[in-house]
Amino acid sequence: MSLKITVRDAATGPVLEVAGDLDHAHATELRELVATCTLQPGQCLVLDLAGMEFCDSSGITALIAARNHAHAARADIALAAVPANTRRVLRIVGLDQVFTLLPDSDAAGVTAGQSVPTGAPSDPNAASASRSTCSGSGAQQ
Amino acid sequence: MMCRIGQEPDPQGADGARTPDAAFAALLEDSAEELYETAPCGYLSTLMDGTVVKLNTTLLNWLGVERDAVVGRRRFTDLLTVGGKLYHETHFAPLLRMQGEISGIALEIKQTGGARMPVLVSSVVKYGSTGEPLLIRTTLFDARDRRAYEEELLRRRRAAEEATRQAEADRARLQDALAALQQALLPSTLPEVPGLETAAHYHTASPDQLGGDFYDVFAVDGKRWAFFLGDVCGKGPKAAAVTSLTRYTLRAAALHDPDPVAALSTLNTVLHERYSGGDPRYCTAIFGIVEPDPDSGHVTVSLASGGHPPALVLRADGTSDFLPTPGGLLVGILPAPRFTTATTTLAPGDTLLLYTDGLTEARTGADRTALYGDEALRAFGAGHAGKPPQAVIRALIGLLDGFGDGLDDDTALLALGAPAGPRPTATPVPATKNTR
Repeated sequence: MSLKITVRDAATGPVLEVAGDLDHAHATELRELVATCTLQPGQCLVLDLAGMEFCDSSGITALIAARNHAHAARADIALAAVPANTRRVLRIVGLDQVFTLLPDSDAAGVTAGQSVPTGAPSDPNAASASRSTCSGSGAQQ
Repeated sequence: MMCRIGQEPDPQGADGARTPDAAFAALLEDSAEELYETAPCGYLSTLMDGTVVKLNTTLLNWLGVERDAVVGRRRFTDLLTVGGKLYHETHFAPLLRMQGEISGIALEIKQTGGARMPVLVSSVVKYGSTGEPLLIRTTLFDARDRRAYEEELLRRRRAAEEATRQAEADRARLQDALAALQQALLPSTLPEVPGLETAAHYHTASPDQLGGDFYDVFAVDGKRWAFFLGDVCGKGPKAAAVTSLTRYTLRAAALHDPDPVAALSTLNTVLHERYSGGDPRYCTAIFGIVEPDPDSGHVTVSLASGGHPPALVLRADGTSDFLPTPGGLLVGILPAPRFTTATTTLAPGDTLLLYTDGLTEARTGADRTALYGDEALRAFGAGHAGKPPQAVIRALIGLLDGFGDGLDDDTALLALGAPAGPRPTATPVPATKNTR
């Protein structure tokens, strides 16, 4: 029972690959890591959940905190490759309409491009994408 | 030979011969008399009746008396405290007579000026050539440091025991406080509602963790009653604070505007304003209004859901169906969320069941990997359809108990039913509808 978060930078912004259990014991790790992510307006923070094996209400809270963090920076957020059981929970609590759900994190570019707020010009944002970083980008235990 | 810094030299040389230093040292201790008088222990010889015949200077100094005042005039027991004297007569002397020796007995001697000095006493009987006892030889060791050490140990132990008692008392007090707070989060009893039967149950997963589930039933006006049931994210004191805020906000909101969506929206505004940012706190909830019709015995139900699992309706005809409320959002995370409404009418014998996901998410199966799930709950409901709320809740308590350690979350249950009563129902089965 553990959580492994790998950070990589995509053209659209940081991608956090979450693997393992996003439960009461570990969800704080995601929340703390996300809080260190510097996001530029118009970027898209992608949480790739393909390797996530378990997610309880603490995990849902961490996802909401990540959304608040992204929106505070006027950035977007998307969940990629959400496992079926978590998708069911997201549907029950209505969060399937709040988060952009992607089949996989490679789809982030297309969707993020589409979801740039109309108020924010897209070209400068694209140029600033490489400046995104999360503290300790690399493997986080 | 290696250089041995900081150690005493060997008492003898490596070849086993006496070194010149040791030989010289032996000359310093050539007087047995001087050793007897000034040894670091007290020496005392008495006749068999205890009369002191000889004692050394060390002991005289401890007692603070002159030799002449003791020798031939006092018995050994005269030197002891009252308690020591008693112990000597009941234990020390009989054992010594029986065994011929006794060692390491803790006694106290009286010093001039009234002070007491703890000593460790050992005695042997000296026998004559024909085996008759002649003398008792006694040594007394100064036990003041040892006594102080023992007293310190005792004091520490008493302090530790007191700390343990205090910790247990604190723990009991904390549990009392937790129980009182938990009770403030739930109604102690449900109110009497004319034309409606009610029953509720709260299953606590952990006795020392405040739970986050909640429910309530209360009057709105002369005809309508409000009910709600929900689940705050997380556990413990912080979750309980949200639960408390949620319960009293919904109660106040309903008195202002009993419309279910309006009540949930007010709660949403309060939670979102209070807990937005890095530590989001939110809840799922169903809020509804019931209006019993005294003429028909029917009860109309109008409710709204914010991210909560759908209510289950158990019909008197033995069927059971969810009252779907899809798309309603968690309460407290967005400034202007959508809540989903649904209405139904309970005919006599029908029961509406609200529950938290502790029930449907209970782990079942031998390896505890399967979830109990919606369909199993619907089937369970059908098996108990037609029963009054109290009986439905009783059956569900049995179901929860059966989950054993597969039930690891708090679970709240609330059932509202139209009494079956003697009145025959001539009306058609009421329809259920939901709107988004």
